[in-house]
Formats: sequence, C-alpha cells, structure tokens
Amino acid sequence: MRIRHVIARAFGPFQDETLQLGEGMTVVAGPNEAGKSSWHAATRLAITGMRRGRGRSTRDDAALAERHRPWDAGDHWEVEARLDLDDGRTIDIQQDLAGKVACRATDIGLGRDVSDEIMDGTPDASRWLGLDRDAFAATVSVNQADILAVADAADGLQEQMQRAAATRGTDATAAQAIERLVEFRREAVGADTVAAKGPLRLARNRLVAAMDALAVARERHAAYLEQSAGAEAADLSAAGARRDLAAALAAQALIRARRAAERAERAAALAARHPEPPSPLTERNAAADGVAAAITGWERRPEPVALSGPSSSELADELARLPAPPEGPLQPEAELRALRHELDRAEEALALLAEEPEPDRTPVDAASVERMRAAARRLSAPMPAGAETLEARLAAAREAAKHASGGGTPRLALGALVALAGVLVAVLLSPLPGVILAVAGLGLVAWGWTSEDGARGAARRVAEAEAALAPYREARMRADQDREAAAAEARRAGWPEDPRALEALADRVADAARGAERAEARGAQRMALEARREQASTALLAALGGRGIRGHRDARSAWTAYETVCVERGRQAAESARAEPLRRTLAARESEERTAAGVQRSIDAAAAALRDAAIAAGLGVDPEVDSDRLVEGLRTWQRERAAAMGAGQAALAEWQELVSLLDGRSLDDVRSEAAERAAGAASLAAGLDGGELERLAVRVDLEGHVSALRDRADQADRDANQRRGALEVLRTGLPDVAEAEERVAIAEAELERVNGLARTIDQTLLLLRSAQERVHRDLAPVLAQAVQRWLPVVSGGAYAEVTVDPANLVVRVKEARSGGWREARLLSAGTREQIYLLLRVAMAQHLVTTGETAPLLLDEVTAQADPERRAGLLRVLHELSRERQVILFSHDDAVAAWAERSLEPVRDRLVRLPSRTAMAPAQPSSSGIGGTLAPAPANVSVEPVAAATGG
Amino acid sequence: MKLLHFADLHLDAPFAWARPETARIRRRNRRETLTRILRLAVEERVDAVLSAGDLFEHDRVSPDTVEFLRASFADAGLPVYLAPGNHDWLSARSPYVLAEWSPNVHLFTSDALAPVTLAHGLTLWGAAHRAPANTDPFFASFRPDRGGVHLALAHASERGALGWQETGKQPHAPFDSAELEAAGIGHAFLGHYHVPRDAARYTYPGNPDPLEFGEDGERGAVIALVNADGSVTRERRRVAVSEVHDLTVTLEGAAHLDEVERAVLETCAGRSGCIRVTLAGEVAPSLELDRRELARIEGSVGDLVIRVGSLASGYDLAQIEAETTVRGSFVREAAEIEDPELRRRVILTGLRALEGRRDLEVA
Repeated sequence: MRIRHVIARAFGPFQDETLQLGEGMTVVAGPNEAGKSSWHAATRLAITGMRRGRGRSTRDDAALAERHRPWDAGDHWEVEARLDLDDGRTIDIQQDLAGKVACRATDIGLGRDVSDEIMDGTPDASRWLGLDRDAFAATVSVNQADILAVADAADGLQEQMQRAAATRGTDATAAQAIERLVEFRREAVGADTVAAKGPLRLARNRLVAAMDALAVARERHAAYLEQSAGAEAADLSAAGARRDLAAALAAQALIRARRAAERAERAAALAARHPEPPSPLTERNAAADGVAAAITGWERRPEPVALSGPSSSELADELARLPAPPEGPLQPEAELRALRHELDRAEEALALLAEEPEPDRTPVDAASVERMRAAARRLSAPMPAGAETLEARLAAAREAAKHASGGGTPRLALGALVALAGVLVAVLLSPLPGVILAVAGLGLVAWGWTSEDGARGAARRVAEAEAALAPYREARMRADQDREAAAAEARRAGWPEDPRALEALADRVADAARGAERAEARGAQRMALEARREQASTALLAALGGRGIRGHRDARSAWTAYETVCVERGRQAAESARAEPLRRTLAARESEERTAAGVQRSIDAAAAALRDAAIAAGLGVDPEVDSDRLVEGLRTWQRERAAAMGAGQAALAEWQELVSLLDGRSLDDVRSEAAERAAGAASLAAGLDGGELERLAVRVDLEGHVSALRDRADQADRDANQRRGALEVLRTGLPDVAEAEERVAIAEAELERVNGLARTIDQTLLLLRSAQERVHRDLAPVLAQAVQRWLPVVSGGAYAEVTVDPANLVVRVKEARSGGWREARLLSAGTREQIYLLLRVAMAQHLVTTGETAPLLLDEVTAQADPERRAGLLRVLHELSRERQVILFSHDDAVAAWAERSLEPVRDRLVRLPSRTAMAPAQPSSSGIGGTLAPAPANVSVEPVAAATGG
Repeated sequence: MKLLHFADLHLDAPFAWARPETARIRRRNRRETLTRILRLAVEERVDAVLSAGDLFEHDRVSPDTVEFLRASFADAGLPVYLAPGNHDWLSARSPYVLAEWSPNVHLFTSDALAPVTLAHGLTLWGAAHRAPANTDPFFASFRPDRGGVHLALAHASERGALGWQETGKQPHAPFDSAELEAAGIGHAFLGHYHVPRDAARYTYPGNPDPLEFGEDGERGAVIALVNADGSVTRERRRVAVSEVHDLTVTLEGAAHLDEVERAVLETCAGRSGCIRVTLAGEVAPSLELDRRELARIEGSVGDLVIRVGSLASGYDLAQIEAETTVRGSFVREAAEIEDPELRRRVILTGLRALEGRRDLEVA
C-alpha cells in the first residue's frame, strides 16, 4: 500500500489542501506550527477513519477531535486519501470524521464502492493490511516517544517488540498479561493449602462449615422428630395409664357405692326392727364360765403318754448285773502274734518242702550233653544251596549236547567226499552234474561243520556248567561226610540219629544233672527250717509263760490257751461296755415315766374339773361316766343356756351393728352418702366399659391395684412431661434445615465460582504462555533477519550478526572485531534507534497478514538525535523506503537539508510546509529532487485539488 | 359434590438460588398460599379439600409449620383429606402421625387405596406413600368392593407424562391412564407432577406457589364439581402468593455498566416478586462487567437474580484469530476448547489481560 496523496478538506488548519507523497521516502519538513502533526494525523485518519459509536479508546478519539478538528469549518471535518494497493487497485477514500456517515472507499479503476471490504463502523483502510485502527497507529506510525523509549530505556527495545508481538503494540506484552493473571489468581483464588487464607480456601472452609451445620441441622431435625414420636408415645402411654387408673378408681368407687348402699339399706332395716336400744345384757354366769373352762380344759388336755420297752427298774437290774471291765489285753499281743507267725512260717516251709518230689540222684555226665548237642548240629547242618539252578543248567546243556553231537563228523566226511566226487565228475565227465554234486558236497560239509560247531558249543556249555557246579558238589560231599560221621558217633553212644531227638536227649541229661544238685540243696534247706521251727516254738512258750500261760507241752496248745483267755476278756469287756448306754436308756426311761405321770395328772385334773363344773352347773355326776360323755353333757347344758340367751344377744348385736353403721349420723345422712357415692361412681364410670369395671370390682387386690396404677400413671405423666420438656428444648433453637441447605448451596456456588475462576485463569495462562512461546519462536528469526540485513550498515561494520531470543525477543549482536555477543540494549543510543526502526519495520510487516506492504509514518523521530544518529536514522529510513513508502515529518532543518541532498528524484519527495503564523492559509511546496528547491513564495499554497487528484 | 383439589405445596422447601431473606419470604408465601387455598374452599363452600401429597418436606419441616398446618385445617372447619406423597411420606416419625389433627382432617395411612364415603354412592379412595421412594403402583390391581362413583386421591406418576414433565422427576407409584378405567376410578385427583394437566380421568393441579423460575401454565387449586354420573368439571384458580418472573435482557453493544443497569431496571420495571434476568446479546469489549457489578445491580432491585446467558463480548474474534500476534495465536488455541462457557471465559480473560485490564473475572 502506498499513499499517493492526502487531501485535508477540513482538518485542523487545513481547508481543501493536498499533500502529495512520494512512493519512496517523503520528508515533510516545516517549522513548528506548520501543520506537520496535523498532516500526520490527517494521513492516519484518512486511512483509518474515526471509530463510530462506542469503542474503547474514546479518550483517544476525543483527544484527536479536540486537536485536529477544523479550526474554521464548523461541523465539517473531512479528509481524503488516494491509495495504491499492492494488488493493483487505486482507492479513493473519503472520511467524514464528524458525522461518520459520508464515508466511502471507491475503487477508481472500477468506479465501485468498496467500503464494505474495510467497513468497521466507518471504512478503515488499515484492514487491507490486516490491521485495525489501533494496530495501524501502533504499528505503522512511529513517533518521537517511541524513539525516545528505545533511546532512553535499555529495555525499551525489547518491551516494544514484545508488545508488538503480543498485541500489535496496542496493549500489554504477553509477559505483562501473564504476570497480571498470576497476580490476579493469587488475589482472587489463592492457594488451596490448609493454612491459606485466599478466596479458594475460604470458600472451601465455608462450604465445610455449611455442610457441618447442615449435618447438625438434619441431625437435630431427625432428633426432634424422634423426640416428638417419643413424646407422642409417652403421651399415649400416659393417657393409657390414666385411663386404666380411671377405670380402677371407677371400679373402686363402684364398690364403695355399693357398700354404702348396702350399709344404708342394712341400717334402714335395723332401724326399723330396733327403733329403741334393746335391754341390757345379762351378766356373765360363773357356772357357765366354769363349764366353758372345763370343757376347754378337757379339749386341750394332753394326750396320754404310752410307754413301751423295759421299765426303769428292769433297766436298773440289768445294769447291776453287768460285769466290770476286764484287765489285760483283749486280743493276742502283737509280739506274741509275731512269734506265733514265725512258728507258723517255719512249719509251713517244712510242709512245702516235704511236698516237693525227690529229685533224681542218678549221676550224670554233663560233658556228654555238649557232645550230644554238637552231634545234633552236625546232623541238622543245611546242605549248600544254589546248586539246584546249576544242576538244571547242566542237565539242559547235556541234553543240548546230546542233540548237537549227532552226525556232525559223518556229514563232514560225506560232504567232503561228495564235493570231491563232484569235482571229479565236473572235470572228467560233465561239468553241470559235477558242479551240482560239488555244491551238494559243499553243502554237506557246511552242514557237518555247523553241526560240529554246534556240538562243540554244547560241549563247551556242558563243561562250563560242570565247572560251575563243581564247588557245590564238593561242599555237598563234605557235608555228607560230616553228617555220616555224626551219625556214626550217635550210633556208638546209643543216641538217636535224629537231630531233634538227640537234642531232646541232651536237654534231659542236662535236667538230670540239675536235679541232683537240687536234692542236695533241699536237704540242707530242711535242716535249716527245722532249726528255725524249734527256735520259734521255744520263744513263744517263753513269752506265753510270762503271761501266765504255763503247763503246756507245746507252743500251739499254749497259744490256744492264750487265745481263749483273750476271748474271755473280750467278752467281759463287751458286757461292761453296755453299762453307759444302759444308764442313758435308764435315765430317758425315768424321764418318760415322769412325763407320763405328769400328763396323767393333767388329764386327771381336767377330768376332775369336768366333774366339778358339772356339779356347779347342777348336773348329776356319775363316777362311772367317762369324761367324754361328761363333756357332751356339759355342751348340751351350754346350748340350752345359749338358746335361752340367744334372742337377747342377737338384738344387742343388731343394735350394735346399727350404731356402727350410723356412726353418729342419721339414717338420712347415711342414705345421702350412699346416693352421693352412687352418683360419684356413675360419674367416674362414664365412658368406661362396664364389663371391665365389673371385672375390676371383683379383684381381691383392687386397692393395691389402684395404688400400682396410680404410681404407673404418675410415672407415665412424669415421663411424658419430661419428654415434652425435652421436645421444647429441642424445638427452641432448632436450626432450619432449608436455610442450612441454602447456605450450603451458596457456599457450593461460591466454591464453584472460585474453582471456575481458577480453571479459567489456569487455562488462560497455559494458552497465553504457549502462544507467547509459539509467536516468539516464529517471530524471532524474522526480526533477526530484518536486522541482520542492515546491521553492518547501521553499525558501520561494528556488528555483523544478530540473534533474537525466542523466549523474550531480546536482540543480541555479535561484535565483528571480538566475536563477542552483546545485547542490543547495551549498544549506543543511536545504534539502538536504528535497530529499533529495523525491528519496527519487520514487526509491522510480520503483523500485516494480507500481503500488502505497510507504509511507515514517522513523526519527529530525529528530534532528539545528534547529527550522527540523525544521519544513521535517515540513512536506514531511506534504505527502507526502497521496499515500502516512508513518510517522515520533521521540523529539523537538517533533515530537510539531508532530504535535499539525499532523496532521489521521482520516487522520493521533499515537502516544505510554510509557517502558519500568517493568517492566510499556506500551501506546502514540494520538491521531487533533493537539494533543488523551487522558489518558494512566502505563503506556499498546495496544489490545486484537481491537479492533486489527477496526480 | 364440590371439591377443592391442590397438591405439591412443598412447605419448608429450600430455595438454593435465592438470598437467605428471599428464601424466607418465599417460604412464608407458601404458608399464605395455603391460607388462600383454605379461604377459597370456604368461600366456594366446597364439600371437602383434597391434598394430593408433598404438602411439606419431611426432612425439613419445622415444628412451627406443623402447628400452622394443624391450626389452619382446624380453623377451616371443612373436611380435609390428606394423601402423603414421596416428600412427606408417612412414617412413625412423620408430622402427619405426630400432629394432633382436628377431627375434620382425615389422613390416608395405607399404601393401598382405602375408602372414605363422601356421600351416598360416592367413595373417595386414598392412599399414602410410606417411604420416600419405590412405592408400588396404586391402581394396577385395584378393584372397588362396592358400587357407585369412585374417586381417587393419591400422589402418583402417570407414565405418559414423564416425557414432558420437568427433568429429574422419578416415577413414584407409576400408572397408566388405562389402569384408572380398568380400576373403576371415575376420576383421580393427583399430585407429584408440578406441570398442571387436566386429563379425562385425572387432574394434576400443579404446584400452587412457584418453586422455580420458568414455571408456566395455570397452576393453582382446582375446584372440581363431581356430577352424579361421576364426570368431573374443573375450574382452575390462581392462589399463588409468590410472583416469579423469568426475563431476558438483550444488550446491544453496551459499553458501560450504566447501560447494562439501565436495561435491567427497565426490564424489571413494574414487576414485583422474584425476577431472574438473563443477559444476552453483545456488549462492547471494553465493558467491565464482573460478578461484583452484577451483585450491585441485583441489590438495587428487591429479589433480583442476574445470570449471564449467551452474551457475546463484541470482540472481532475472526480478525483477532487472523493476527500473527500472541493474541491471535492465543485466540486460535482457545477456540479449540470444547466447553463453550469455558472457551468464552478463557478468551475474554486472555484478551482483557493483554489489554492490561483489571476486570479479569469474566461474568
């Protein structure tokens, strides 16, 4: 895109003035207040127009309007431009900056309105560059402040590149945006650790608290319902208990009412029979009392005691007859028993010895026993084993040899003869028969050889078998010989040849030898036992003699006498031992006899009392009549008397009963009471089951039942009241579950909000960092290439290479002399400015996405530069103008002078703006050739509009 | 016979979306709605009042609400028939059991249809939910044991209506319309579905006081006239105390908060009760609209809730995507985010951050 000219219809100080621009570099020079900034703004606004309606930079627009509205044109504020697009089109664009209505872009070639292509409220030609108004201003337009930022701030270069890379220079850098987001996240979300106090943790804590509160609310609500149910049940239970109590009380009242009615009725009946008290009672009759006492005494008499067994006198006699306890032992003494036992043992041993048979005393030759045994062993020695198998092998080998040996040699001889004959026949007579014969002969030879060979083999096997069997045979032969020798010995000694019989004989002989020994030993033993017996007898006699048992011939008779004495003593002792129990029996018997005597006396006294009572009552007493009949008579007397007194007592009893029933009240009072009780009972019974009342009324323990029911009802009331009280306590301050749920919902929403914000920020950061890395990575080589191309020029060969760090777009240059790398921000201000311009151009072209070449508008970019830097900047700009349109606004005469010297004819242009301190409008003059100026009038006027538009 | 039928009052239900004070007001409104219903019943001189379940919320009902119900029914003096639903199911600890109802209140306690004679030849069969879920159907195997006209009062789900009822409804005690006829039920007075429906053999009155935004239809109480032949003629009466409005405010290029606030206030003007405003349309990229500002605007109107709907930011994302800048790359990448809401927020957050703005929480 190139701007051919700009027409300020009504813009700032301009009215219908035209600024012609070269396709290469145009320097618009002029003193202050010559309108350079106005032309700069007019050029930009001619392309972009003003934002229509609401927009972000209203402040910027307002500042523009204030600064560049026409001074004299009233409501009009218009500017136009002609653009040459790289696609070949020429566009006239009109901008109605005031009303923003009469704006239009026209394709001159086609004569067609192409405003729609670039419409953004109003036509915005920067859209042909892929930019917007803000981006165009930030990208295409370079002003003094931009240059100063690079010159003064070391990081200004990098920061501007980053800003441009992020937002085309209109907004923040990506790093600033990321930092802002990080900080915002820290403030608006915060950490999620336990100790954190940021919004996320607070929201989480609030939710936990709300949920805890909700759980408590639900729990208490459930508890309240539970308690309500319990209270309800307690109320029902209390009501039941009260009902039961009411029923019991009603039954009680019923009973009392009935009793009261009965009493009233009885009192009425008694009062009717006894209107006056009856006559006084007769005094007590002493005789009657006596009779009653006698009868009572007779009825309460003890039972006679029947004694059985011997009497006390008999027992006493028996006791007297018992002997005194004996002196001396009652049983044979142990010492004597031991002596007796010793005697017995000795005699028993002798008896046993006598019973044993006499052993055989025949002398026996013990040595013969061994010979017998040896002979028996020899006779029973086993034959060598293993021969059976060898015998069988030998038999088989012999059989085989017998069969193998037949005809071998004759066959050989015959075969040889036949073969020889065959040869002779073949030679002498005929070959064929001769050969046949020879073959046959050979066959016979072969057969004979085979047979002989077989016979030899069989003979060999026989020999082998015999050789193997030979040791066995020899052993067997020796065994036979030994056996025979043993048999001969046995025969000589007269022993049996059978080894078992011989062995038995040897055993018997051995037993016989042992028998002789035993006989001898037995004799000695007998003698010892006899001596022992004699000794025991003597000792026993002596001991018995010491106890008074004398005059006996032998110990046994003495012992018998001793035993008899002991037995007698025992008997005596047993008799005397009966004395003590007999005494006790005697004492008990004497006591019983005394008791029986006492009982009898009581009985006699009771009988005597009966007789006395009968006499006192005027009854005749027959001494022969027993007491029982006497009692019958006395009872009869009592009945007769009672009958006589009965009537009087009954009346008295009834009167007493009446008095008791009235109890100081009148009969009417009693009746009234009965009626009241009846009414009360009826009242209590109202609504109750009559059958139940009747069942309760017959309960024996009704009073106790009522008491128990009252206790139960009281307890049930207390329980119900307690539960109701607890229920009221629960109800007071019962949390509202719905409100608790709502608080949870609010807390959840808040947590979700913070979590959502965290997710959004995190995702944004992720994408921003990724985008930054990606764009920087793509942009870095572009920027580096752009600077690389001009670096030697702008640095005068001091630096030859340049790199741009994709991470942060830091520009580094390589010193040609040392080869060392330096960051561009550390270079001189002038070099930084030039590099910045190169980067701005590269960035601008990078940001232009439509293929068009963006022009470059520069405003007073050399204002703060020294001559050297100025020259460097101008040189770079001039070089850049070879590829894109460069429009430089400057008040600097040196710039104008440089333009006159350096700009090329035709493609470049120098425009000198006259001073506008004069009132008359002035027109810019321009020169297409540097250094040659057309004479400029004092007031330079712009080219006519028509010429301008046709230029 | 003239009956008044209502259902699904949901006393003491929570309002999760509302501010605490608003929620309390809405709950108080429900009580007032019941008062209106009973007053209407008295004015219309109905023979009985039928409540088809979900009268309150078992897990949340307060003692005060139970006492309110008891006193209200007692004061009405009319026969009141209560059929517990799945939210106010009948259990040993249910307020239905624990309250000392006045003699004019009849509570259906069985999970099988039980009869009450309304008049000679007219029987009302009612049933109760005895659990919060899995209640068996009432009508499938039911056959009346007497003649005359049979009406039903229950909390049940007509299967055919599930498709168009509000989402999240579970089929409690489901039934098909044909089962009513097979069961000999002349008309069923039902509850459970909040959307009102007047079918040939059943009636859903709808919830009489709004629970959510967006509840439309003629909801309220139904005055039903039962004719001698068992046919029923119905008339709906509005009894709601709460007013609920669900509005959309379309913003066209609003560039500052005053415009947004003005648009919202203009939309809400003349309306009372609870208002939910959904912002839609397009706003200028420079508009600093965040939740604090929305909260401030909400606070300027009584019960106002503002939410952001399909609200575009006014950025020319197509142009930004075409940039070779970090911004352009970022927007291109963010456009791949599947979740549309997250995508919107991320793009706006990134663009605002790149613009150096501080309102980085996108509403």
